[in-house]
This record gives sequence, structure tokens and C-alpha cells, in this order.
Amino acid sequence: MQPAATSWNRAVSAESVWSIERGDALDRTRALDRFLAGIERRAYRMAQIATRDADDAMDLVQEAMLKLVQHYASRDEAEWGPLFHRILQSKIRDWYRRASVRNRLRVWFGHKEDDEESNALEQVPDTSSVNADKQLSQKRAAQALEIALRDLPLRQQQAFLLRVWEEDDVAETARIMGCSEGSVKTHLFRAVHALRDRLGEHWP
Amino acid sequence: MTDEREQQVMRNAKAVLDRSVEELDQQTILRLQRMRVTTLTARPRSARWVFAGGMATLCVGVLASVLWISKPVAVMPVHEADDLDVVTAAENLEFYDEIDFYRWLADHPGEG
Repeated sequence: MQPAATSWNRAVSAESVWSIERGDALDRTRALDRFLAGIERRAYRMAQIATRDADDAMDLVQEAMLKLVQHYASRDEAEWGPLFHRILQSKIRDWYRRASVRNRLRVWFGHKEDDEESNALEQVPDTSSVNADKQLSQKRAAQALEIALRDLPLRQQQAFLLRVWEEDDVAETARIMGCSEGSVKTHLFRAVHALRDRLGEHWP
Repeated sequence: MTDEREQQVMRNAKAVLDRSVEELDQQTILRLQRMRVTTLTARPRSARWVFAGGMATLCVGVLASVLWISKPVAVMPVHEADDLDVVTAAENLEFYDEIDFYRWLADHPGEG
């Protein structure tokens, strides 16, 4: 009787461990789902501002999500945010490097550079009109900001979005961007000045 | 460090960016949701398969290295030093095909 009881206990114990592990995995997946649902839209907008392309932005966000889920899912939940942004910003930097090479080749082979974007800000109508509709005014302000942000150098853009929009502190921003805290301050300073000059006195 | 105008630019920018997220079109939101589900349901590669794949790659690498490093085997039809003359001779090989006959002829000079 004793050996049978022991093996039964062992089987029950193994079943319990399996159930607990399965339950933990399910809980973790749910937690990851909640986390990703909370950050996906902002992440997409960041990638879209950087790449100026909806599909490229989607790809970058998905790559960042995959990497987080496959490599860092077991980490503490509090670490997911900084880790995700570090991955995403790294992906954006890689994309930017590839795009720079592509643009250089395009110029080398005689393609005309697309200057449509650089002129786009000039095409945004003046929003200072007293009679301007509020909704239209907001839309124009958003367009103006988007164009001004896109035209910033990538590092300034990253520093601005992480510090001002994500409200990460300087140390965290430096870790995400992979640079020193001094560099973050410099990039942010330049970004704010450039935006202030670009957007004008009456924005938004 | 920053003047009032700069602070205002930052506050406004944050508000505008927040609004841009709220105003994302339905199609984009659906794409993001699908992407999230796909990401979470994508099964990570099992460690066992990663190990097996690594081992297979290692074996192929070792085999390739061995083949690459080892000396090429000379494929010579010559098994004995005596045969060397046969292989290197410029004469007609038919002579050697019938060498037994010529030997017999040499041993029996009167019968040819």
C-alpha cells in the first residue's frame, strides 16, 4: 500500500505543479496583453513620426513587441515599459540607418530628393485667425507639430518624445537612447528650441 | 533653464500628441490589436528545438571542416610500383591486354 500511495502522491503533486505553471503562464500572457494594449498606440505614433510611414511604423512596433514577449516576458512587469521603449528606439535607430543608406544610394543614382515634406509646414495654414474653427485649429496644430517633429534630427526627436511625451526622467531616457545623460539634455534643449522657432509664437 | 514659451511648447506638444493617439483611425487600431494578438500567440521556439538545431549546425560545421582540412586522397589506379610503367607508358595499351599471349609465345618459341 505504501508504494502505491507514494506514487499517487507524486502524480498529484506533478499535476499540481503543472497546473500552477500553466496558470502562471496564463496570468503572464494576460499581463503582457494588458501592458501591450496600454502602450501600442503611443508606440505606433512614435514610430510613425520617426519613419513617416504607417506600414514601417507597424512593422517596428510588432518587432519590438515580439522581442519583448520572446526575451523579456519573464522579467518583472515594472521593467517591461523601459525595456519595450529601449527595444523600440533601437529598432527605430536601425531603420533610420537603413533609410539613410537607401537615400544616399538614391541620390547617387540621380533620383531627386523628395522635398515635399520640407515644404509641408509652409502649407499649413495660419492658425492665428480669430474666426478659426476650434476643431480645425487643433487639427492644424497637430499637423504643424507632426511636421516639425519629423524634421528634427532623430536623436532630438527621440529625446523630446521620451522626455516630454513619455515623461521619462533623464536617466531613463539616457538608458533607452543608449547615450549619456548630458547628451539627452543637449538633444532636448535643441529640440525644444527648434520646435519653438519652427512653430512660431501663435502655436497652437 | 527653459523660459515660459518653451514650457508652453512642451505642454502643448504633449496635449497635441495625446490627442493624436485618441484620434487614431479605427483601421489602425484594429491592425494594432491584431498585431498584439499575433505577437502573444506566436509560440516561442522551444529550447529543445533550439538545442537540436544548434547541434545539427555544429555537426555540419565539423564535417565541413574535416573535409576541408583533410588531405585529398589521390585516386591512382596504380597499386604496385611495377604497374607504374604500364600507366605512364605512351605505348598502345592493347599490347598489355594481350601480354599473356606474348609471354606464352616467348616460352614456346617454336609454336608461334
